[in-house]
Amino acid sequence: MQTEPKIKKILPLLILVSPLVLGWLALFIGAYGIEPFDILSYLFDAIFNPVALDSGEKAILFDIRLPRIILAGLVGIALGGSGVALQGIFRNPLVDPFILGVSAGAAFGCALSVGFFPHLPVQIAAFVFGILSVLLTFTIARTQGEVSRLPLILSGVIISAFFTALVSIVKFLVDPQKLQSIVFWLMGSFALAGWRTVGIAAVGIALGLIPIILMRWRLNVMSMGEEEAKTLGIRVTRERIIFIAASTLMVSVAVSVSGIIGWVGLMAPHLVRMMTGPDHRSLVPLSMAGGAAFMIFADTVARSLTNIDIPVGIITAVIGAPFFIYLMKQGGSESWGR
Amino acid sequence: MTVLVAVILLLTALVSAACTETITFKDKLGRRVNISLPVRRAVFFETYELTAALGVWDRVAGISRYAYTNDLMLAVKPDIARTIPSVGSGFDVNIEALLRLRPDLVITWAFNPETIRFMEEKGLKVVALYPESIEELYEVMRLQGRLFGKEKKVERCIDRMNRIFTLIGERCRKVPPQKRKKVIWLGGKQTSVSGAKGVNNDLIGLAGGINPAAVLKERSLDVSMERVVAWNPDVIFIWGGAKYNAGDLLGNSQWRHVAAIRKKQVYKAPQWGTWSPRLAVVALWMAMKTYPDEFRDVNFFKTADDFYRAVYGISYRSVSRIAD
Repeated sequence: MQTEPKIKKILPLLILVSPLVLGWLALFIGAYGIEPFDILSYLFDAIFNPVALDSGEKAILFDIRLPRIILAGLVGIALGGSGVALQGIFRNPLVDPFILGVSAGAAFGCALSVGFFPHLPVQIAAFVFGILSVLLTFTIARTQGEVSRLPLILSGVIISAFFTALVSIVKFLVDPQKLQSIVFWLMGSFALAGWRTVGIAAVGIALGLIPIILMRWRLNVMSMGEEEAKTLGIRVTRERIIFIAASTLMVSVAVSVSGIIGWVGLMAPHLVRMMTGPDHRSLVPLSMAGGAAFMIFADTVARSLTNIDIPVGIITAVIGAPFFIYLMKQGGSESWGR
Repeated sequence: MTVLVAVILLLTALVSAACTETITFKDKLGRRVNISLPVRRAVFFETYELTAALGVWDRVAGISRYAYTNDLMLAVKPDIARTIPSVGSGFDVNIEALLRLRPDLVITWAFNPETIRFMEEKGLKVVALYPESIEELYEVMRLQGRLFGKEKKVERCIDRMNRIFTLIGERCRKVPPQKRKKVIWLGGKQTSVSGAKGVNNDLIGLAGGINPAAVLKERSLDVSMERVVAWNPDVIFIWGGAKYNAGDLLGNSQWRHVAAIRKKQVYKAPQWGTWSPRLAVVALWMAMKTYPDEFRDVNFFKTADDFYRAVYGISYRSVSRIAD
């Protein structure tokens, strides 16, 4: 039929703008209850009339709601982009951004900071240990200059288990209040998002995102297989390192500002792959956009569904899993682009 | 001769039976516990700050490991780590160490029913406590008074606490209803608020404040920052163990329109446990910060010092003091 190709054509565009659309809608939702007309007039003021008076509602809109939405989008980009890159490198649909140990390392950084070093900010500790854990994974997996997929995954599992055990030790030793702080941080939340956090996240995520976007066509080649890629002139080990480094940087920054949010990095690439196919030239940016859209949606639900600010990791899992099952049933054999 | 021995033995048995009284107490989990008095070897996983007031160290066979880092315990009994063994905490009981102490009563948190069942199976007598209001705290204090035969001391302690609460009540009653301030208590995170249940809410009520977070019926909840700003509290108290302090909120532009930040009424509470006679001092401090005009003639330091000396026998200077 004539209409089918048309949808297929605009679908990528729809996915690309979905985070912007959802972000726009999210501006109108929140506990404070600002009238939509007022929101529009504040936005107008911000662009065309910068000397207009400050007010409580403007502060809510521009200093609390807007940075939170943007941060959610940035973290979604980081998780979606990292997920698609790692799934491409490992040629494995079960891979998520945390497979190399970054989340376990960041969790340990958080636990150390909350439990024993109150003057060390949680974000810095989480970031440093996130990177450290992937370095450890990498060092263990490296044999004779080669970094192969299976050793990487195995050492990722080992390092994750190791750091998770250390987190448990810390949780055991500290008093109940600190324990609760650690547990809640691990569940993931954007509750304390502000412009400073957005700035830091934007820099870190951009640094990781740019190499992955520029080199995305190489993922097509690498997913053909190691031997094929080598014969086509791709230096597989070097490319792997670059992708892993960029992905780790993005995800470490994301985890340090928002805690551990699962499912997004696994699901967003799959969903996009089901809708637009496995070509990484489109898959990579669309996974990032899809991740951002999903994250903004989940965070908006988390902060406005009930009186409580639900940890966003719970929302992503509760919405994501059933929706994903539904799509897999619909997609059938197309779910991995075969 | 044998008749005399028999009579003596019989009399001894009768006398010792008469000395053993049994009380029945319904604990936080609804269990009816029969405790025979007097208690000689008690193990405290919780509410150990009350024991510091009673001075019954010879009857304390074991204590929670958290007591070793508690400022009050260290001030009242500096050698506590050497003289009273620890058996873990309410969450992680070392059952062998506990049994070796041969306690006749174990006082613990109400949160671990499996642990309590386990201890009972091993033949221990367990009372589960978790005071959630000042009334319940008094109940627990009076129980401990009965257990150790220190009812008079407990009543004196409660009397001291009531004196402070009465002072607060008198002064705060003078504030007209429309001038009542909205007060919130923040926890480990800047968006963790204390709701309608629990001691923090009671303290706010006692200090004559209104807790806007009392629409939430739980003890403590995470809410979105927008909601806290929407409540627009006049005074904010921060839990003593939080990683952030008043300066962080005052300097945060996201909070700049909140009344408490504009009027600079943000305070960090001392890092004291809540189930303790010290509650009265915290309540006074909170009331004085919320309605400073009503308490201009009250010298906080002296009132606190008098209280500590009367209840614990130490000076206020020897414990960790409130930052302000």
